[in-house]
Amino acid sequence: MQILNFTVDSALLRELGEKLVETVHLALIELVKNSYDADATEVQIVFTQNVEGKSEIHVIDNGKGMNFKTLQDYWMRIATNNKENVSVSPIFGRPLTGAKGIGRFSCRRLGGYLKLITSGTENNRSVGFQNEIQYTEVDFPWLEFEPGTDVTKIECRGQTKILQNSSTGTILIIREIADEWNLRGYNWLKRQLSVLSANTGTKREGYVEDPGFTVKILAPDFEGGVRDIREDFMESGWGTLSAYINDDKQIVCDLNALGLGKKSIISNIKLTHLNDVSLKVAIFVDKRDQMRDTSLLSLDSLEKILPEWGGVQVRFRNFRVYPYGDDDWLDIDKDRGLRKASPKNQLLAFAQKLQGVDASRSLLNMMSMRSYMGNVVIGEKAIGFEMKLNREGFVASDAVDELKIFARFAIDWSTILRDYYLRQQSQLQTQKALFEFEDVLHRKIEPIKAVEAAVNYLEREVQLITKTLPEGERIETEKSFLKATEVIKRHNESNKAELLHLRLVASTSTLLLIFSHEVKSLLGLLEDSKNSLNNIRKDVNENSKESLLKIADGFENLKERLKELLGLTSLVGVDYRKARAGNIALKDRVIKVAKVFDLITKKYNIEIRYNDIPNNLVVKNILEAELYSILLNTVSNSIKSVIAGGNQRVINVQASRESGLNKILIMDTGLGIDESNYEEVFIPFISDPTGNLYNKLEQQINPEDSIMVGSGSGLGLGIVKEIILAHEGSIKFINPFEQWKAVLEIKLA
Amino acid sequence: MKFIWIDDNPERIISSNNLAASLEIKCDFIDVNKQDVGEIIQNLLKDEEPELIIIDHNLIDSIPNTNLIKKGSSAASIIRQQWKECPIVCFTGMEPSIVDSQEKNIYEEMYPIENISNYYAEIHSIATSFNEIKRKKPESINSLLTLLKCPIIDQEKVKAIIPKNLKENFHDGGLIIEISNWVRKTLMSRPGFLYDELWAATLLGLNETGFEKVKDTFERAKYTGIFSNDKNPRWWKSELINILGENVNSPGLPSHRGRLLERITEDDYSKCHATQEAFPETVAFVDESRDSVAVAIKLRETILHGGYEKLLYFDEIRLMAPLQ
Repeated sequence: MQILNFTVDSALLRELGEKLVETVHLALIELVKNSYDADATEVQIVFTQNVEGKSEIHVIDNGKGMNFKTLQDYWMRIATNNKENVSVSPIFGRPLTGAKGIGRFSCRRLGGYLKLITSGTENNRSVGFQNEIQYTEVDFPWLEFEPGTDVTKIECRGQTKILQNSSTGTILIIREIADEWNLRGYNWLKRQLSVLSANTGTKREGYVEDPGFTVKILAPDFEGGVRDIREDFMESGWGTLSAYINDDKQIVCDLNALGLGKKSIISNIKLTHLNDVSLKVAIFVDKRDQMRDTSLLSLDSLEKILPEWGGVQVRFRNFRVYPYGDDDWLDIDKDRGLRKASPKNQLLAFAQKLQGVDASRSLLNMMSMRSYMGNVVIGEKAIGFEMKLNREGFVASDAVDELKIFARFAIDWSTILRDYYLRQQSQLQTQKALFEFEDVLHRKIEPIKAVEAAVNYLEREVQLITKTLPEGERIETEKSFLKATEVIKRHNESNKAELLHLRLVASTSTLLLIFSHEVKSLLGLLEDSKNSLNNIRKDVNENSKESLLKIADGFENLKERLKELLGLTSLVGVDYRKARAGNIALKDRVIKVAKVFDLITKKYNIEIRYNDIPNNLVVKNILEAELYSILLNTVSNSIKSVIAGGNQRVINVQASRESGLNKILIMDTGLGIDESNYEEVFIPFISDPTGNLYNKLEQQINPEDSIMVGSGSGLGLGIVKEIILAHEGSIKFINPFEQWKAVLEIKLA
Repeated sequence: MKFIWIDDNPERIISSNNLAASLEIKCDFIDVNKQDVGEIIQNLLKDEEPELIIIDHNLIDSIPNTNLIKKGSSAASIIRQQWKECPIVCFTGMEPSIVDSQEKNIYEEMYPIENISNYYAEIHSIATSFNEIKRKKPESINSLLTLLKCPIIDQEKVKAIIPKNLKENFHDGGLIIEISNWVRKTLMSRPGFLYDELWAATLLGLNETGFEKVKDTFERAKYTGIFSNDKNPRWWKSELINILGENVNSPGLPSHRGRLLERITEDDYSKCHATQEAFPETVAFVDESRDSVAVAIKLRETILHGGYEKLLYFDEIRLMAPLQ
């Protein structure tokens, strides 16, 4: 009897390599996964050239490496696998990621030659610096594994030795590189690597705490420099948020985000118990159009990363503190569940200033806690943080409470800005659609009439189409169509009304709104003082009674004056959903506006006339606050002009009905405006085209009084024009007549 | 009389003392700043029921996180469960229009903190009226009319407009609250049976200065029933016309005859706010805004106010018509 043995042709190695590992990019990923599974905390991938100018790939990790026996018995024995019976890595307990037994084929797939250098311990279950390690170096000349040769007969030369005081790890040097590398594949590689590098550290029961996994790529042919995949990944989402506490104990936040660029804010609140604290968080949105770098980030990778690694972790003196980041310690998901919509205090004021943002709902776009990925870092100098005995979290303290306020302030601020970004995007989309529609119609359309124009266009088109239908069907179709267009028109009208109010809120100083409650309490104190005086009056003699009455009356006058002012600001503080546009009598409002400027008009001897306004002249379908905004801005401009102009200081507000419209004239004896600037003064931020007004005003007005008539931001007339246009009215300067130097004409329904 | 003032702002003790001194009553101030409101109310309810409770609408400076009572309305609901007939009024620094109606309705009234003294008389009237109703609890429509001191000529009409839920529930625990709401918020607020100063003056063809001159003559017409108060008086319309007849023996509309009253000069005549014409027939708001003022005006210069429903026997609430 004869014994027959199988032999293995070397061609099998190449065959298996190509079948099992389809591309070079996949091959490299497999090698990095092996590093991950070997409990490495860092892997470096270097695309380089040797002295002969030939390309090489080096994969260097600091994992547990292999000792000689493992290399011999497993790595070099085809179809064996030392991972077969385990599902987690030995040291950190990481769920294994690599495909079984693929590593050696991946090396073969990547190039024609491999030098494997590995350092492992005798038990092959330790990482890092060791007293004694086994160092092994083997060359694999894959090109010599030619078809026709027996794979077991080819010699792979190597050496092994014991090293004292050295670190574990593996280095793969791959030469004779396959010529398949391209940018697309490289980007795919980065996306895959980002999933692995998302491991920022965790703790698994029964294992050593996992410090995380960093992937660094040095690829001069693609991007140059060293790329830290995690760093790049953090910059690839919608935005990157960072924050710290400054010397004044305020929170300083910076956001670098898609469509917004860099934004900053400094908090009014001071966190007196915090120092040496910082935050860096990447904000991920699961929408491709809200990613800054799609070469690194994909929906697929986000799906894998966020559920496991998303969350704001806390690092205290370089160590992660659990369970922060695994739990909802910032109450993000809790507030989302409660549909918390409105920010408070400074952030509310901030949101109110952003065009298009509904401040009271600006937090509704907050994402789940897992969408915020990063760390709050508590440094060496921080005090007030003490770990609990079980090492799970901090003992309660003022500093811990403030840490939460710190992180939430930054996240809430970024959420408001994201809301702003979404509004801006939506406006851009609308604008784009409008341009396209203008092309269809071959004419310009005012944005405010876009929906009407579109509906009219559709009506015409539908009429053309329905003409071909039988009578009954035509009537039915037209009826349904009319109903549908009616819904669109009505919806459009209600949106316009809401927009109007938002525009107004954005234009108004928010300071008094926020503090109106406090100001009212102060008015209450004035009221108390007055009432106390009145009560004391009962017990004093007649002379003192008189004096006390005068003082009490003075308090009452002061209180009423402040109340009037507050009343105007509180108009815009009213919840806009409860505010309703209606018919507003003009004269009463002009009288109130004149009263607002009472102090300054008396001081500078300015006369405001309004007797020519009919009592029953009513501005239709307008919010009271809008009418005040129009009057306050225009009258304050006239006040500035008459002060700057010197001489006779008269402002006259006249109104009449003409051709079904209210015509309001605001005339003054101030500096006047050159006809060439009639249009320019309405352009935002050009408050004084010639520079004449504010120069002269500065000479005439006490600096402390300038605040009473506004600082000349250049927004006032622009806002007034927007309000008036939104009401289909008009505003323009006309050539002055009689003694007037400037005449502003407003027409409103 | 004893009032209780519940507030999370300790400084308001001054307001409480002023109120007590002005109305010559006793007012206990309960400071709930950094306190558990729920616990304080539990203790309060063990004591004797006061004549009236004043509460701050925002109690946010009570102890955080330990109780759910952060608003005066929540505290008021708890108090009402035990003291069903105790009037509760609220002071607030908030704009009343932004407070939800559900919360507002818990209180008898909601007043702005910065104008407390303007409402002393009204608060006093609420407390004394509640006392009076408790003493003479109406058990029929007629006994309610007695509390209103309703002129005989108006009685049948008033009977017709008393809400059904009030007529049918004279033994209900919340009867006083129902009466208070209807009398103050309908009978006294809507012109019809009772007129305020402007309506009364306009009825007599006078402006408010003119009416001031002849007020004494019409003293008998003044409403003195429950919830009346001198700071914001009302007059029975029927009595105004009656007394006018007694004093001016000449035929014609009341607005024409009113001008024949003694001491009245041309300056006292009312004029239409829109056209300056004589004999404005009605009163209307100048516009639809929240703080709109009412003016005497010719009926033809007005339109119906869309914000008010029509009520039987009451005058229509009208708006000045825009100039065309």
